[in-house]
Amino acid sequence: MNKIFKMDMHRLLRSPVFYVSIIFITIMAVALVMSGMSTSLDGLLGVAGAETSMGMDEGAAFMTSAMGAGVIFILISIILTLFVCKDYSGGFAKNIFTVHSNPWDYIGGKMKSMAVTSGFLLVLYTIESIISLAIFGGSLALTGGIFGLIIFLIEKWLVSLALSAVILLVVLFTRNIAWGVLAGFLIATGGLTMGASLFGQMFGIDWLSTIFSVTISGTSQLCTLSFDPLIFIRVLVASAAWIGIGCFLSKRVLLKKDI
Amino acid sequence: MNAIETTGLCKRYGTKNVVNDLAIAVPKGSIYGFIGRNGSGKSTTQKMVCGLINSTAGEVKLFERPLNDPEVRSKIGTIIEQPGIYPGMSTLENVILQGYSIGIDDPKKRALESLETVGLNKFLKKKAKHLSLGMKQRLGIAIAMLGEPELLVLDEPINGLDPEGIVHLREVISRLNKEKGITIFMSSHILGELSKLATHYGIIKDGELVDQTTAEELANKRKNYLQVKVDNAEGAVTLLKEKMGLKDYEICPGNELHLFNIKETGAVNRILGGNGFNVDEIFLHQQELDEYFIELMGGEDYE
Repeated sequence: MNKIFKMDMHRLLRSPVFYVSIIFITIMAVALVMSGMSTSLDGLLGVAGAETSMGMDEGAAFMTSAMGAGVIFILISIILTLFVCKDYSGGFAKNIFTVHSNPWDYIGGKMKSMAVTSGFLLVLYTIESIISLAIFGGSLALTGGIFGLIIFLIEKWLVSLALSAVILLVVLFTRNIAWGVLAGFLIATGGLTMGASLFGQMFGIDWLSTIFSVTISGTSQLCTLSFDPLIFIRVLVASAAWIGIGCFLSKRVLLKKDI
Repeated sequence: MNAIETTGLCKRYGTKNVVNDLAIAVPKGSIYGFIGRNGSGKSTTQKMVCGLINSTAGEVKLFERPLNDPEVRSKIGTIIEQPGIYPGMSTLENVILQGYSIGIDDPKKRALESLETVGLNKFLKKKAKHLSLGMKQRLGIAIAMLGEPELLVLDEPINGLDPEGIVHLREVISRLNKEKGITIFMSSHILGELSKLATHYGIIKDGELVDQTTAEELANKRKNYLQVKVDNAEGAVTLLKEKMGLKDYEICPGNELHLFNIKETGAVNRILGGNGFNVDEIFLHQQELDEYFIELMGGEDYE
């Protein structure tokens, strides 16, 4: 597991997609503040409903939640998808799986490298957002204080791990970049959940919304800058469940499919 | 000790048995030439040996240990179908990544050594996708041998190489086998080239092993004959029957004789010359590996 992790980290630091991601989130942090689209840390970090009180409609609130951490989730999905697909398309997977007979080596290695990557991107984006607000003018008020911010980042990081596990499953199953990126986009933006939720409302299937609250995008929208132990536990349990499901099924796929 | 031993190995896709009841034994330290037509099950077998495909039935043992033993898996290096590389990364980075994957200390140092062994030390920064086919094969070998494997599984390593590339690769394989004692399990379509390296052979047809032999045994099995070109082939046959007890022969167009089970070139030349026959040429013809292979396959054209 650690060997694959080290390999992936070495690869990541030499990969253009990683540096493009850093540049992208930097530009996003600056552009959102400069354009006036986000003038608070809540908005920049994509806390759901952060700016609805300022007169935004539900669609705009959805868009807000898709920004910030949502964009980082999309970037994580792209990085993971490219990494796994390139293992297979170039044939390097044959070198890896000849030596690593245990599927957990590969799954664990990928999950660890994504944990480090998403943690790094989340922290970097938060710092950039704070600097951007300080330079270009905006509210640096933290509703839950520093502690609330740290818990928020931990919650988002846990959700990013859940997302990584599901994307890993999709990509190992399809070995296709388009499917991986599409799945990442739909989950990270909450598009899949929102679409299904609208469907539920339309046909009066109210219990669907209960299920959606434990989806990855539903869980992501629970995170706020004010620490709430109940929300933290819900995020922790839901993320752990998705990580477990994603990794277990990924193992099944690796054992079943030919390399 | 056998480096590879399979018993009752089967792989079924749908209703088709791609590999059926295969039992091969690759002795440690040997160069095992694995021969078969396209689609005969060579690559599938090699993938099963490397654990890249699950077998439907049967067992694979490497160095007398089960295939799933992580310790034994670290002893394998492989190039199957094409070298496993990241095309967008440099030659050196590709080998370093393999170093991290197998967990060796100081991967860069070892990568440089490995690339030097295959003669790619002048192309360290060149992206893998810009390498020629021969260079990619050599890069594949550098990656495969990085962890100092005891077994190299090579699938058609000579395919697509120019003559110079073939010679270089042959030297590399031969050196790895002789100097480092690495067992080589190699398939190839270029049988003439394979015969220059292999110490053992396995021949597979429609997923089944039809012959498994050593190079020495194969040399004895091949139909060698004395080829003689004379002015009167039928007269020469009559004379040789009388003087040498010739029994097994073949008269070919152009007064060419193929004399089986006779190796005494000088004696035949003397008898024919001494009895007024004009001997234009006389030499011992050794059946090539591909001729033997075609014969074993039932005389059909080899793809």
